[in-house]
Amino acid sequence: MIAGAVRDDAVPRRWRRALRQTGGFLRASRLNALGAGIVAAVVLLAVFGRALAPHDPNHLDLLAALKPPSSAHWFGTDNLGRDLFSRVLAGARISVEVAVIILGLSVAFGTLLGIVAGLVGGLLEEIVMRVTDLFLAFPAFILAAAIAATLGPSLNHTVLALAVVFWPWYTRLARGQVLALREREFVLAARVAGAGTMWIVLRHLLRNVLPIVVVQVSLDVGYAMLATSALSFLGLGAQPPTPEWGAIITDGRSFIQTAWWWPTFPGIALAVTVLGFNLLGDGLRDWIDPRLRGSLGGLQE
Amino acid sequence: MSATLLSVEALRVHIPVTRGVVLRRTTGVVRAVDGVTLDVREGETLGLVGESGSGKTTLGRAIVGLVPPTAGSIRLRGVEVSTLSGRGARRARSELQMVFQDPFASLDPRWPIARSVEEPLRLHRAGDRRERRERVLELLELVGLSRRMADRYPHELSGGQRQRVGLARALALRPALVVADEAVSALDVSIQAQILNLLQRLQEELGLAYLFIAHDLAVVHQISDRIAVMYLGQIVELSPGVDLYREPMHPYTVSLLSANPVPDPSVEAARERIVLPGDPPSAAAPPPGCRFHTRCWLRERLGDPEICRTLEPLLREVGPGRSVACHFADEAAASPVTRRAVDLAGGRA
Amino acid sequence: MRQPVLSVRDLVVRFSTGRGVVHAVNGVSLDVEPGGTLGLVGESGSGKSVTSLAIMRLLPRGGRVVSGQVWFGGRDLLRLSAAEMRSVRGREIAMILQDPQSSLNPVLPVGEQIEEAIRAHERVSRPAARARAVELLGAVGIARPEEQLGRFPHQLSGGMRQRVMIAIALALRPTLLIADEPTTALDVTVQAQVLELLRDLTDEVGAAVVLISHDLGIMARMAGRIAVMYAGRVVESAPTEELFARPRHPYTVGLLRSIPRIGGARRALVPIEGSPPDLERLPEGCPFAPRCAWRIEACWTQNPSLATDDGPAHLVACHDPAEPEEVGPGRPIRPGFAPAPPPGIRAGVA
Repeated sequence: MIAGAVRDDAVPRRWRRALRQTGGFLRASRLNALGAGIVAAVVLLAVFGRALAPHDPNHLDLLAALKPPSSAHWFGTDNLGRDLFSRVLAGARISVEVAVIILGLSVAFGTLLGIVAGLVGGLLEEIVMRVTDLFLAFPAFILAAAIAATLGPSLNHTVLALAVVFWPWYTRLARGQVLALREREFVLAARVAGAGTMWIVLRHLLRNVLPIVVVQVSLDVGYAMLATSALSFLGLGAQPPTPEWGAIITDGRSFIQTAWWWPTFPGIALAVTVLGFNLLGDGLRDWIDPRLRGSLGGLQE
Repeated sequence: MSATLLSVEALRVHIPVTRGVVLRRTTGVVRAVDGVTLDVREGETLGLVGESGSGKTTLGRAIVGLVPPTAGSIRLRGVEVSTLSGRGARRARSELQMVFQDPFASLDPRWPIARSVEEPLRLHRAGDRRERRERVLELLELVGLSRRMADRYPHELSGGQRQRVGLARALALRPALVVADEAVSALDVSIQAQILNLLQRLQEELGLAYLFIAHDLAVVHQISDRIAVMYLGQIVELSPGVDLYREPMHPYTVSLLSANPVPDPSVEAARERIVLPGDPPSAAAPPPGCRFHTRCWLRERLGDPEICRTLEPLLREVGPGRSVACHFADEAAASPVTRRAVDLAGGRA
Repeated sequence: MRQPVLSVRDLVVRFSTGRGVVHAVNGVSLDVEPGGTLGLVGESGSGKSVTSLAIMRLLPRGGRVVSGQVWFGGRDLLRLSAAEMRSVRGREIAMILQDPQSSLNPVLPVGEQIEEAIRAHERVSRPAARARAVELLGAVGIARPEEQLGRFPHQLSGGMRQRVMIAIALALRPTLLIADEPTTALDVTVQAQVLELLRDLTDEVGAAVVLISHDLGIMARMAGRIAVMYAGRVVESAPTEELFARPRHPYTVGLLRSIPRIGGARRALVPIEGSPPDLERLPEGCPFAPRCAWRIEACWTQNPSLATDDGPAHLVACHDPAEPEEVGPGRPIRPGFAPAPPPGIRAGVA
């Protein structure tokens, strides 16, 4: 038994483990694979959209206005002759970026706040939880709309508004987890070994809270995209000519009878994307749960 | 006689019971540890036995610094540790470590076990990464695990193996005293024996002292040099192990002996049990006078003397290394009930 | 020997988990005499709890009885319909579990839970059921039973909750009571009370008992006959006195030798080496072989069946049982004897 060999072995071992688990997840249910597939496709399109788009999304060609889907324009064109396929593709990128920023901000802030509140307890915890309750008391969408309207219609303001709406969920989630974990013996053992609060938060609690948070995030991505599109649809979000899906839908709304392809394709794109994220999130939640409980669910005898 | 390593004096740990959220009101106090004095000598095992509510776990946690004492002192080699803070506290605490009961919860499920064992070393900045790694592997071997298990995760290990990891972690900082809080209670019988043997071997090799907390009399008897019996936050009897079971002097100890099932059918068939009535009273509202008086069989036999109900008996020394907290310890020791309980608990060796 | 009240024959139970199949019970046969107490002893993974759940047909999801029979009252319980089994449960066979906290409904007062148990099987009026409940609470030693009827489980101590469980179990005077680790979660002084109660009441009702525990001390006290289980099989079965005086199976010997005892000089524990087997991958041959100090070559390849030894009442499943003089030291003491190595590794080859 050579100490050195054991050490170097550790890193590839961890990757192999991760790969094996991913494979298991995908095989566990067809819906998992479907969800993961859709998400992967959307992300790829978002990243490589610009290269794949046949036309510039903002290129005007009035001669080709309101043309139905054809080999030149797969999704047809809008009233300004812009290629809808390219616009929808660009919209994918926007949706993904926006969702990442919204969730990135709210999850990071909300989770850390929740962990610290749960661990420190006392008055701090009380204050944090009551503020969280305050935010959660408002219907989420209306609050976001109100904030966006106050700040002025723009995609950036939408992102901010939604981040403000999302963080309390993560605070509550994280704090709940911490309450369950903080009296567990491994946390006590860390304290006996000399660990302070920040060490416990960063090295123990964060990693143990993460799985639940990840599941919640995957479920929320869909909702974040939907909310962004809804706000754009209302005119509060992306402003013309930004090809955000909700904005495209709202522009094409009045043309639904004459140019059905205009609002329909971005609508389908939105629906399929949200579905993909929801399936992935559901699958992750089911996958993580039995593993946490262990096989046979504790029935050892 | 070896030197005193740990000295606990008049220790009280009172935990407030609060109601209300914004305006916290204290409606009561749970007197988990209520005036405990004991000492642990270098290299010895002091067993701490008691049922739920006795305060034994709280006492163990107070000693390693997880719970702040309300009053009294905890001294390590003469130096008070309960009031230390910061770096001084950390250094002193490194000499007092703990092994926990639940093998499933005592290791971070997301850390490979080597990391759990390494944690105390990192927190105390002991050596560089390679030195720490080597020490971790040494510790794993010391507790009977293969080095190759270092990068496994807790869920891949059995309960007994996890307990060994917990022990390795406790030994990382070369402590002088390890508090074992029900360290074998959650293990299967055959594994329990392995771990008990391991604990004894390590004690010999490393000169460790143990405070061995448990509710199982036989397990405590197996591993302890001296034993303290706790009831409702206080020590009611403290004796060398052999004496405690041969000549118990407190009625509660006698009841424990009497209730303890013995794996010998002829003994069990012949036994008359002392069955304690009712449940143990709550530590938030202990009975007046002697805390045990509400369930004490001796009090009944002696015609319910008033002193039991009014005066709390102090822990007095009644022989070499033997202390009892009872007004009628001599009567307890001499009673035929005691003799029967002892004979039958002892059975045929 | 009188007709047994319960007779299990060759029971096999498997669990399908996401990862594989767990062979929880692998051919268990046992008999319970009317009014007698059979102790099922084993550690985690031995299959003792799963056996009892299989008898009651209360296996959790993923568990299946693959084969075997459970004869009770002249019928094979495994072949009954769900409705027929429901009428057996509670009325003819009752069960109490280890953790009264989770066995009692936390939002119903205990009185109501007892009444519910009675009224599920018998047509009695509410007031009559209530009166029975009061009587039962009194019989299990709860003071002022009328006052306690309205209390919730969390307001009672562990010992009292277990008494309520016993009251519910014995409410309908069942023929058989299965008690799975009934006192493990209780303090030792309370344990003594509850065991005493259990014995008195089952004697009074005339119920037979299957008592499941890992604690041999409790078995010595309560059981008339003991079956030792390991890896889903019964490895030894004998009347209690016989089992303690003349254990034959190396696992039984190992258990007895690894339990700390009070009294007399402290003697070193002789632990059983190794760990319990992985029920997903049981080896061929005797499951105890890897840990057995008495093993011979046959042990690695042939699984010994339970057969009589030392008289008709004492059954052992072993190719090379321990001799009486080997019980004390806990090791075989035959000159030149060494446990047989696994097949494929012969002495002399590295």
